[in-house]
Amino acid sequence: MNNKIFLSLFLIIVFAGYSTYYRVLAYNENKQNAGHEQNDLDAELASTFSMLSPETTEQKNAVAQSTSGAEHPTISPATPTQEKVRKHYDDDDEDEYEDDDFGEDDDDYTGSRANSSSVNTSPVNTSKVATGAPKSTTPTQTPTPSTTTPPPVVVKNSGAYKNGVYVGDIVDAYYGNVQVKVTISGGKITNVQFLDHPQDRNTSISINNRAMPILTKEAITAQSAPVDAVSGATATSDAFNQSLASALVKAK
Amino acid sequence: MKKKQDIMGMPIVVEINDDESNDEAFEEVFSYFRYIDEKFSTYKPTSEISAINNNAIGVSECSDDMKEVLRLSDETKNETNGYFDIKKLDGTLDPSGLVKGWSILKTAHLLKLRNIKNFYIEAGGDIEVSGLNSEHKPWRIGIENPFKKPNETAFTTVKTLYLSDVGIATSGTYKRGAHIYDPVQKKIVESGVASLTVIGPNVYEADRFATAAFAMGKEGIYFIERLHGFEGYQIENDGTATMTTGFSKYTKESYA
Repeated sequence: MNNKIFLSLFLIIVFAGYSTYYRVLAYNENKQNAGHEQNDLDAELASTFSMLSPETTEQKNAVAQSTSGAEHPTISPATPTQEKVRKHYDDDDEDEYEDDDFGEDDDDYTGSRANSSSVNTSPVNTSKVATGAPKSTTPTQTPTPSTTTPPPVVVKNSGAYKNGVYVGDIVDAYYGNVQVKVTISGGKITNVQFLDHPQDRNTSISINNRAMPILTKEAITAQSAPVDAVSGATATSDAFNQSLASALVKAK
Repeated sequence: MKKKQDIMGMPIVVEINDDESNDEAFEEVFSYFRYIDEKFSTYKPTSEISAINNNAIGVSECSDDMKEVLRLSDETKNETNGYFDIKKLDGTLDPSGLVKGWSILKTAHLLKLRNIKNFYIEAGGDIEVSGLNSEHKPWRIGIENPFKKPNETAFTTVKTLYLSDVGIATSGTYKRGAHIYDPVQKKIVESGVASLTVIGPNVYEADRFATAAFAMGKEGIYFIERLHGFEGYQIENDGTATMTTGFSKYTKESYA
């Protein structure tokens, strides 16, 4: 009899511990981890952009090498690649889930350890991102031809620009401001850089890829449906192009 | 009755279905948006946000509404691990990504204080819906076709939703090859996403998380999936849409 009471108490304590843990998990539900697929840039894109941040110096050098001969820098949508840019997973960001071996999930919380599965039907990589400062990842500068990607935003280079370095206007984009710096050599655009602001954004984020639910996908269907109102991103502006255009005006 | 004005650089549309005459109600809503514009517009040198950005006044000396917006911006930044951030590349503050939804919610409260129950308020594509439409059914809200040509009047939507007492916001940029600034990786990255629509308990919540999630690129929809009480519909550049697991409840004309 005493054994049964002891066993019951033990189970109650264990259950209390589990449910507290789930409450903590639910509270931290919003602590998101976002992974990023680091798409490779195709060669023309790479020759057009480079970052000023120090951790991408390698990338910058690679860009400088592939710049020559690029007459018409174009901004193409990157094609997804198979290659994982992140070579390893950081375990640091898994700390709070170390005890997670319950095997069943809270309905509202989709985290539990599982293999990181590709949830897209097309082969794209979902790689975890390091905590803390971004690691220096050099995307492979493989020239990949655009296949079925839509027409890119084309920056025409007529060769009519004066050599020098020109800074464009700060243009308001949806996500923030964009400002570009253009380098003209030999009358042509040889480099376009985003001016970064040296702020200390030391937040880290990596998507919790464990047991991600498979999300339903569909092809969109354009309709002329009668509706009361429409939700859209009406305040759109291709801020990059605007800033670039303003820089090019100065280069004429 | 439906009325529209252009304020804050965007169309503001208000439709009220309750029976009593509501001219005063409409005017109160539009006045409030003008007040918001005067205070928060980064394009107006006389606005309070411009004064802060010019260091003419300090944050501690600003108005209660400004303090509230700054505080909410900070909270949102924390909740989204930095993906929502009102501090721009040049160091100035631009809270417009939060003010839009927040001010719509404020005007919705103004209408509710007048005991108006059936309405929607839209500003620049973000909408707060309350009650039912003129057919006594949930409001029919379309998701804009992100590939629609400008000025095109047909094929303007890709989805019809039936909503009541929720907020909906759509982030996006309708240029292919759009780039986003990832504030965490400190890089400009290829977005891959044409638009992301978020439905939440109110338009303020939907707006701030849509803004943050859009900065995450294709991973944004998974962020929304994890958020309890939010659903999303993410359209990628190739015309593929991904939806959260609970999203389909909004596509049915009558809920249980």
